Amino acid sequence: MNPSSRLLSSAVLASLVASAPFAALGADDQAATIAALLKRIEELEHKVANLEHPSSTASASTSSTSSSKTDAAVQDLQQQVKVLKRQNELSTEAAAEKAQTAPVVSIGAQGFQVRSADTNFVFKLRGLVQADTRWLINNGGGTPAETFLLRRARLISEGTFFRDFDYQLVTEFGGGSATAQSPTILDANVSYRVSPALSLKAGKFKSPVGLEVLQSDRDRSFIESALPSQLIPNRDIGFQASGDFFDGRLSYAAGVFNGSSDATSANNTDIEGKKEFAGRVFSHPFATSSNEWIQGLGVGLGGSYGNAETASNLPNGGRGTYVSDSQQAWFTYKSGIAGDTTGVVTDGPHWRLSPQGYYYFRSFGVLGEYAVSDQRYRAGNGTAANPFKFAYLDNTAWQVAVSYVLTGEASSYKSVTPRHNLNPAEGNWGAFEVVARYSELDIDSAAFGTFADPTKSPHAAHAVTVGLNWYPNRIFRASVNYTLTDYDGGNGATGDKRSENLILTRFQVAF
Amino acid sequence: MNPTRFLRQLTLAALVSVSIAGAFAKDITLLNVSYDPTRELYTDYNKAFQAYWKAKTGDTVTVRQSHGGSGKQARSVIDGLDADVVTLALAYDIDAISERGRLLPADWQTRLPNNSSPYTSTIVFLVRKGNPKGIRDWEDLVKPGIGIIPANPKTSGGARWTYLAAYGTALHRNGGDEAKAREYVAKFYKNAPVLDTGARGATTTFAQREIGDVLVGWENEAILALAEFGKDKFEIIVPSESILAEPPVSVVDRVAKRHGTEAVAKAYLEYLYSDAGQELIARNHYRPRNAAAATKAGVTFTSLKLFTIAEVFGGWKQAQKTHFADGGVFDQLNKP
Repeated sequence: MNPSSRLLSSAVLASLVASAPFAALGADDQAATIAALLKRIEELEHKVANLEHPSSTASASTSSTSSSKTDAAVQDLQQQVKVLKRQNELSTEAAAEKAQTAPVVSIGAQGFQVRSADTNFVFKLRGLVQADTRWLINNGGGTPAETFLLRRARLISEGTFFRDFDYQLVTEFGGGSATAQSPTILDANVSYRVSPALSLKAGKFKSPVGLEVLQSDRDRSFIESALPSQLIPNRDIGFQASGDFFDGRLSYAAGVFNGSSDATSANNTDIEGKKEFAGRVFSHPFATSSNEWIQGLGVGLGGSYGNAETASNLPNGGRGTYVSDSQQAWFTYKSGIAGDTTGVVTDGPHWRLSPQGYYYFRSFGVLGEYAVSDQRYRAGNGTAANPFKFAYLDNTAWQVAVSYVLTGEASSYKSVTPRHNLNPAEGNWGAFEVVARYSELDIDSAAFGTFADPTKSPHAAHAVTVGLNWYPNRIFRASVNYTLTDYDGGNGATGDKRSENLILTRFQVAF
Repeated sequence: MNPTRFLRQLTLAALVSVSIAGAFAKDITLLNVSYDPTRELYTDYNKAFQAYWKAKTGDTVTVRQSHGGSGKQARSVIDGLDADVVTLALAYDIDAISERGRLLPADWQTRLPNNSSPYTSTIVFLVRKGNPKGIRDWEDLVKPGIGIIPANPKTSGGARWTYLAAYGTALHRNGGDEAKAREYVAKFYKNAPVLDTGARGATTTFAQREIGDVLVGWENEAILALAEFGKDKFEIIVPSESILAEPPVSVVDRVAKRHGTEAVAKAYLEYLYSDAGQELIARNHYRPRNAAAATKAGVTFTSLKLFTIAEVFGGWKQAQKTHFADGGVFDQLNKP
C-alpha cells in the first residue's frame, strides 16, 4: 500500500471513529476522543509535509495527486473535529442550562427536601423524636415513680408553592400520656407571604402569646417548659396576620382564634363558638447595631382576650389542672362542690398578658417571661341552697432561665449548632451546654375555698431546674435535667404538698 | 411695567417651574425581553428613546434588556419574568404569552401598525470569502458535501423562519408538492452538522468555530457578522426567494400595569415607528417599514422575491401546529 492510500485509509478510519455516536459518550470521553483525533491530524499533516517535499524521485504528477487527496482528507477531518468540539460545547451548555431548571433534591441535617430550580416550589420532610425518662425521687409512693415515654414523635411536612404560598402539616404520634397516644394533627396551616410586612396564615398553629411556647419544641434548652407556659395557650385554630418592619427589628402577629384554655392545644373544631383575639409584638431593637454586646437583646409583649364559658375551657385541656415538670397535676379546680354535681366552669372573659424577653451574647443566654391569666370562673348550680358564685381569678407565673455553651458555640433562641460534630478519633465531642432556671406559679388566693380545695391544692409552686445538654451534631441531642419543685400549701390545713424531685433525660432526633 | 421687576419675576417663575418639574420627574425602569440577535439594535435604540423621553417628560427611563431564544424568552415571561415589553422573533411566541400567561389581550397585534411589527427581515446565506462551494440559491444547500449552519427550529425563532423559508421555496419550485418540499427539507437538515439553540450561537459556530460552508439565517445577523469579522472573510449570498420575517412587539399589559409603566412602555414601542426609530432599525441591518428611513440611513437592502407566512403556511398558529409541535413535520424529518 502506498503512503497516500495509507493516509486515506487512516482518514476514513478516523472519520468512522469521529462519526461514532458521540452523544453517548461522557464529557471526559468526548475530550479524549477529540484529543486523539487532533493528534491524528497532526500526524497526517506531518505526513502531508513529507509528501509535499519527497526525497525520492517519484513523478511530480503522482505526488501532486496524492497531495491534493491528502489535503482534502485532512480538511475533512479538521471539520469533523470542529463539529465534535462544537457539539461538545453545545452539550455542555445544554447540560448547564438543564441544571439551572432541574429540581434539586437534597437530604441532610435539614431533612429531605425537593425544590424547583427557581425555589418557587419546595417540599420538605422533617421529623422529631424525643424519647424521655422520668425518675421521681422520694415521691412518697406517687405515680408514676419512673417511666420511659415517647414524649414527641412527629412527622413534619412543609412546603412552598408558587413562591409565596407555604403550608405546614405536623402529625404527632407521641404525646407521653395515656390520652394522647393516637396520632393527632398538631399543626396544619397555609400561609401567603404578601410582603415582609404582611403574611397571612390560616389553620392550626401556635397562638402568638408566650415566648417559650412559641419556641420550637426541638430548640428549647430544657426538657419541659417552665411554669409560665401553664398559663399560655398552645396551638389554636384561626387566622393570623404577621410581619416584620425595620429590617426585622420589629415583628408582630395578631389573629382571631377559636380560643384555647391555658396550657392547651385546641381541638380541630370550636368548643363553644366564642372567639379569642391574640397578638404579640416583639422587637430586636439593636439587631443591626455594630455593638455585639446589645445585638442579641429581644423584648416583647403577648396577650389575648376572649370569652370562655364551658368546663371544657378549664386549664390543661378541660382537666382544670396545672402540672409540674413530671406532668403530674399539683393544682386542681374543684370538680364538684359538696352537695352539688356542678363543678367549676369558666364563665366569662379571659385575658392574658405576657411581657417577655431574652438576651444572647456569644455563649451566654438568658430568657425571662411573666404571664398573667385572668379568667372569670363560676361555681354552684344556681339553686337557693347552692347559688352561683363568680370570681375573676388572676393566676400569675414567671421564669428566668440562663444557659451557657461550654464549648464556645453561640447561644440563641434557636438550638445550639456544634462547631465540630462528634468524632472521638479527632478529639471532637460536639457541643455541651449547661442550663439553670427558676420559675413559679401563683394561684389567685380568691380561688381557694369556693373554686379550689386548699387542703389538696397548693397556692403556689416554685421550680428550680438545672441541666446539661449535649449536642453531638445538629440532629442528635441528649439532655439531663434535675428539677426540684416546692409547693406552698396543699397538704391538709397547714402543711405543704411534698416537694417533687425529678430527674428527666431525653434523647432527641430532630431533622 | 418695570423691566427689572419683570425679569426678576420671570426668573423666579422659571426657577419654580424647573424645581416643580424636578420634584415630579421620575426614574422609570423598563424590562425589554427580546430575542437573540437584537442586542445591538436595542442597545442603540434604548439610548435614543431615553433621550427622547427625557426631553419629552423630564423622566429618566432605564431600559434593561434580556436576550435569548424567542420561544425560551416567551416561556420565561409566562413563568414570571417581569417584562414590561416583549420584542420577539415571531408572533406565535407573543400569542403564547397571551394565551398561556394571560398577560396581554388576544388582539395585541392590532394595537400597533403593520401587525405590531415595526421592521422586517429575511433569511439569507453567509458563505466564506470567494464562495468556494459555489452556493447561489436554495438548491445548492442540499448538495452532498455542503455543510450548512442553521439554528434549531425547536428553540430558535429565527430558525423557524429559516425552516419556513426553505420549505416555502421548495414548495414554490415543485409546484406546491408537499412530498418534494419535505424531501428537500430532510436533505437540508441532513447537511447541518450542528444545530445551535439560537441565531447568535449559529453565527458563532460558522464564523468563529469555522464549521460549515454556509450560515443560513437572519439577514441582519449575516450583515453584522460581515461587519464584525470583515468582508475579507465572508460574503453574503441573497437567494432568489425567501420569506418575509415580521418580528413583532407588544406591551405586556399586566406587568406594565403592576409596575405603573403602561404609558412609557407604549411610547417605547411607538417610538420604533418614528423616523428616528426606523433609521436606527435600518442602521442595525433590519428592514424598516419606512423605506425612506433606510435611504436616510444610507443602507441598501438587496431586493428579492419574498413570501409571507400567511400566504404559504396559513399563519403562525397553523405553521406551529403542522411543523414545529412535538411530532410535527420537523421532528419527522429530523429523526437522528
